[in-house]
Amino acid sequence: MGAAERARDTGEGSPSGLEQVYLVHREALLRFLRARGAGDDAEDLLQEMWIKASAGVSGPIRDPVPYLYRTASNLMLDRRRAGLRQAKRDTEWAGVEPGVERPDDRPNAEQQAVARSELAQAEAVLTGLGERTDAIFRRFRLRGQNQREIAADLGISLSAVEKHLQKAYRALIDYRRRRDAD
Amino acid sequence: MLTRRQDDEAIGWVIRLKHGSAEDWEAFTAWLEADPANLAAYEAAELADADAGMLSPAAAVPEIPQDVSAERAAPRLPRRMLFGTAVAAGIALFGAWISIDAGDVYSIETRPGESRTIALDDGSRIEINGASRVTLDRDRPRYAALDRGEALFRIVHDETRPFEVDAGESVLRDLGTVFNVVRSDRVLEVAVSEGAVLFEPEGEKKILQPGMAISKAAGEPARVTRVAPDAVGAWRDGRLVYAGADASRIAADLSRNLGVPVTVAGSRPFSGVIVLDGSDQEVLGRTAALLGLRLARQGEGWTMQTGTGAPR
Repeated sequence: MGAAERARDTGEGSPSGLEQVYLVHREALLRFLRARGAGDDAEDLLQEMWIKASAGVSGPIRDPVPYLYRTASNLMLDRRRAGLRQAKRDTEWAGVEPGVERPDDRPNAEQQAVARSELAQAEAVLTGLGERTDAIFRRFRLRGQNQREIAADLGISLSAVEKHLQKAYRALIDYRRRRDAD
Repeated sequence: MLTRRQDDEAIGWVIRLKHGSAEDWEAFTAWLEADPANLAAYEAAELADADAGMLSPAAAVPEIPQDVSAERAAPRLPRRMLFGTAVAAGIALFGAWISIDAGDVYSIETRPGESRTIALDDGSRIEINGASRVTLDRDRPRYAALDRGEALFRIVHDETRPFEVDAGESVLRDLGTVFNVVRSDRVLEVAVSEGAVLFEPEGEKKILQPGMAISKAAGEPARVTRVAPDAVGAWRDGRLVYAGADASRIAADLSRNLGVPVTVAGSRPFSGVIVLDGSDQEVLGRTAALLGLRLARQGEGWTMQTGTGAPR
């Protein structure tokens, strides 16, 4: 029985259950945050992750361990993005009530225009890969289908689905690198 | 300098972690630790993935010229304009894009098993279930689109400014309201717990009172059914309540709420309550028993099948 299963038996879904899962996996999450580039901030970020993870719970969480990792990973993503924007993170993001968010922090008009143009180009990159790759990527990334479902729907192998996804991600990464090099 | 292999591995992790288990995340940690350069490769893949969340769920314009290839060098200005044309054509095809072009549309997306509550300025709340996407428009504060998945809308009624929910083929208008909407590729379901909802205000104009639900398959007429008002949005309390639901609906609900892929064979309509309490296997085992089906592992997820034969 792995740690995940043990954690499950402690009554996941309730905040206290989630907290027990968190405590069991605390060291592993800390290690993960360090590997994700948290450095000396790892302890602080772990706290921040836990506040977000526990405040965001408004329904049962079936897979609490991946949920905590995802929250930690998203935190690092947000941090990196904030760094890339050279802008302070909007601290008003969190709602007054725990677990309730404001819809978003509103970017300025120029950022919006840039984002729109980049979105259009990313669309074109994806379309340029051909109908099959395009459709498989959108099913996976935007319609939440897993690889198995896609393979079954299209009558192709799992490894073929993986190859199409690899190709799409590769193209989107390359597009970003070209853009950033401009 | 990043190698192509590192990029490929990083992409592999982005794909795998979308439905990752605890073990996957631990393995991912070890991969990151194995080579400090792996982090940079992963961050690039992760940012590309995060940005892709804003793309349209449906494939865009089919008639893109063949020479617009991702392998090409950075597009120069004329090519940008070509992209612009392509996107304009896309806008004509997909209504949702019109507002993106207006620049005030944004989406809130949840992962499987995750749920989020959004508070709007007028005091209305949208509770979004897992694997769902809701699109809002700053220029239209009394509007939301459910792109996919499930959400419970708790709308503060304003006679002069009705709140509208765009659910693809159908539009819903609140008449003072708490209502739940489920949207999949195949079917739209709306259930009302308080107040009332006007279904298709410009078309059929069906008024749904508390305890009424409507179910509409793509291209077919809407069907009105009954629902217990306190069962509306029961997913928020870890319960799934059904009256004559088909297998695909139950499978979609389980996948969304548990965060694991679930397929359900057979089509006998089910009426009853599924309590989301315990491990995935316990929940699904009980559900299979309720449905008279047999539970089996299938890849990263689960399947429920008829009969006693070996799983597919």
